[in-house]
Amino acid sequence: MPIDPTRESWKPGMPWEQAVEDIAYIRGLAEEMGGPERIERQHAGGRYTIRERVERFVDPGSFFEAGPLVGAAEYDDEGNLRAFNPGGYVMGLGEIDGRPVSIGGHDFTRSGGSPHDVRKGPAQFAMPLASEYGIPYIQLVEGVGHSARSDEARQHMGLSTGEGYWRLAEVLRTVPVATGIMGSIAGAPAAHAMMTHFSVMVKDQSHIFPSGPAVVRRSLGEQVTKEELGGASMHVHRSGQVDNEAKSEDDAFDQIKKFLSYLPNTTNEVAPRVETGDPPERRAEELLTIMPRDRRGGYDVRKLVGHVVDNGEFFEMRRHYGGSIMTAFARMDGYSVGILASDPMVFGGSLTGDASDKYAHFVDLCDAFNLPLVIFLDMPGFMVGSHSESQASMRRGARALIASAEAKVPKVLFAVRKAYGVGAGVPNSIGVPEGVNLRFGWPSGEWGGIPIEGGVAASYAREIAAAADPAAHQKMIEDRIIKLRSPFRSAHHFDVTDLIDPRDSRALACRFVRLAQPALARLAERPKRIVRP
Amino acid sequence: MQVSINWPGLVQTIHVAVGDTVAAEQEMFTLESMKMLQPVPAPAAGRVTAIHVAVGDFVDPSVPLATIE
Repeated sequence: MPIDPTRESWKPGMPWEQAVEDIAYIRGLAEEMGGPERIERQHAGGRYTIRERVERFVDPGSFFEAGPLVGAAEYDDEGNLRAFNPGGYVMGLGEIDGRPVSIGGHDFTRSGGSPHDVRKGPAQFAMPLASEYGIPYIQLVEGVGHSARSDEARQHMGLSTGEGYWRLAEVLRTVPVATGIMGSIAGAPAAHAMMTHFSVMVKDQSHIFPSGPAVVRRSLGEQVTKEELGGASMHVHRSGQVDNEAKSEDDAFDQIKKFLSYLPNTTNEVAPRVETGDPPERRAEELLTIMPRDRRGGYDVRKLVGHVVDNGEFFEMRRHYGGSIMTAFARMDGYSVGILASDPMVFGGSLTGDASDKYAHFVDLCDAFNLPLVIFLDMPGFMVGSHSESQASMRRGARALIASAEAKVPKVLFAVRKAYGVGAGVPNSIGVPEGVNLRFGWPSGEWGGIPIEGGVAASYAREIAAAADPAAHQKMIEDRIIKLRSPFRSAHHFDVTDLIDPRDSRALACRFVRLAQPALARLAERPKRIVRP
Repeated sequence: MQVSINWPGLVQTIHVAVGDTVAAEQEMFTLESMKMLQPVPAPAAGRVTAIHVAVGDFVDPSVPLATIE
């Protein structure tokens, strides 16, 4: 519906019915976005327009749009509208399964979301709506950032105060923020996309970088495609900048909804309980045999977690980064929890620099949103070797230790197998001073300051060297100490709250997570830090 | 195609020989790394044309373990 050049616009004194018609008329113009050609180009690229995105995302009929009439409007001398170009952002209030959310996104068909002729953005409505009313904030980002055309329009180049980022930082302090990276994004939209608690990008469709291939070529001479530079293989699988990868836009929407479903509306509330229908006392027989009897053998940690949590369902975040630790959200007896679990199939479950960052971020996130942590620990310690050193593993491990020390949410820890050295101290140390430090050992458990292999050789080096048969002497000492590795011995010393039948893990976790709810409600009232992405 | 790994470790067992055909995901090597046995699966189906390592070798991501065609 192009603008009608003969249409008379409403003016003071005209009937109100005509004014109301004019509202609908201009809304109709806004729905044209950047025009049929640009919309066609969006569809040809396999992408939805922002209006289609919002429509698919929220419950049917639930969207209230803020500022649909915002646009570059030109009136003739008689006061009749002769040109209208809508703003480059669509936002408002919607609902997901009846839960109110603030949602917004760039209209890429309007000059890549940065039209030079109109100012419209989430800071004007979507962000304050989320933080003032205490509802989740969803940003569907597809914008290229600052346009050189705006400099020409304003006839000067501005020196940014940077204050534009403060408001989003404040939103991050108060409510859950989830981000879909829907296309190729750069500049300020890319920064906004990373100011989030959860980010997801569409495989082979989304890219994120400060500047794209053209600028890279101009600045460095590096020839690189946007997929290589900022696609999911770079940022989900390698840099870890973006949390998750989606197969399609609809998959990205589903992931955001799932992520939000585990979180409360604000950092000062506790996530509501959901009836899952899974009895807390359910005992999965598989847990008794999931651990291989060869202590060097692997197992599927996702199966292990699935046997414990409600209905085997969990939502994993950052699966493809720092893989020796799995981070996920799940429910226990209907209550939201954060899951931390060692994956022995990746670096033997050891703490790498990447895994430390992932750990620290996830603990901060759960602490901010008052989610208790359920931990399955099988950690041989820090990853060793020269590659690991080059990744600053100890400094990054210290960040993880500090995250544990700062976290106040309760934990239920299952020491399912190894727990050695400082690395294991990271999850072990979550808790409050003089607290119960809830740790349940499985019979497969083994732990200590240093593993026997290597530990004996280091601590008894001189004695071993002086022996007539050093190898036999080392073996003799190792055999002596191996007897001390029994988890029963540490149970005698109260190192674990109890040594348990692994099949009881679910019932125990459910019981303590339920018990934690009033404490979580008190913890929710703490002032909160902003979780750094 | 090179068969490589993204973690360091010690070659414990070599399950294939030059000339063997392998299916995708078939375990070709077992490494011991961080005191865990880690299978190295074939990245794709093919015929093994070369094995570049021996049992007991230290290997890391810079070393291809085998070549398949």
